[in-house]
Amino acid sequence: MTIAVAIKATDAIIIAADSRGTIGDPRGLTAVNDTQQKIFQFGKCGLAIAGASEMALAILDEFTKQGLNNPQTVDEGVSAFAQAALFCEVWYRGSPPGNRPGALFILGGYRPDPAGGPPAALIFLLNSNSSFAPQLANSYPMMAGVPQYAVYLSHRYYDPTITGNNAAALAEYLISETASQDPKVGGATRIAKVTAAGYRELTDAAIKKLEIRNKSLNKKLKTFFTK
Amino acid sequence: MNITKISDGAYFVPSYSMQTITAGYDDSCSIASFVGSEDKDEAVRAVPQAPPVRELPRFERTPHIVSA
Repeated sequence: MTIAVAIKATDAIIIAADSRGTIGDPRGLTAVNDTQQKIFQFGKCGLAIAGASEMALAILDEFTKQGLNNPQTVDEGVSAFAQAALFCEVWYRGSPPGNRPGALFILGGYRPDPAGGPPAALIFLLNSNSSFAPQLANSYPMMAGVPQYAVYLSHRYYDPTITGNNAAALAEYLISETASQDPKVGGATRIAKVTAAGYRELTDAAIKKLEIRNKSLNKKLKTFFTK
Repeated sequence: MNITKISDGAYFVPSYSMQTITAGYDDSCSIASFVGSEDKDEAVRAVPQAPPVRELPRFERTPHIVSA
């Protein structure tokens, strides 16, 4: 399974996900691999995926073949997924809609202001089950996969005035807390910052620092109830 | 695949392997459904059944024997 999150901060959009893939029926014997890439640069935007990863990667591959993989604005990104709906309809024409695989994309990017003001940070949810019709996130974080723990934590700790650095720390926290409870989520956390200038992934060392920071804050929180 | 909204901004996405495995155990679903539905034989149709005939219940009256 997956936990993928997108958080709107005052100076960036944070896109993050775990890297675990699960194989087998969760009601029985399963196996995991922690090599899954679930966040991607998409031109100047960022993408996080959940669901059928093979389907999602096939769509991204088709974007590359058709020259749709470099949107400069979030609206260009949304338009690329309108095309994805068309080629999915061709690929899966032999399968009844209820039997088709499903993939969810979280798209984060910026829309320039025609009046020259600051660009608007926007996060869209694009669902293959609804032909990638754009669903625009409100000010709260957007998450997909196994989001139950992350929903609660984001309600407790998210604030619209959060900075990009703190949002990256929050994203790491949402993912590591979910992984601590649900073994279908895990592996390395990957985090990217999307700004109007483009997409940049945090290094493993930077993410490790956030992990250590969050663990020490968790320890402190525990002392509130053990002292 | 059922992708379920569980709250604003939160979407539960079941693992793809779970979806394909449970579909495989489902009698109503077969591998054929991934490559196209099978054509039904048009010549084989159920014969429409006539509605059942409702009969009023019959009451057999036991003869009342009056002894003298």
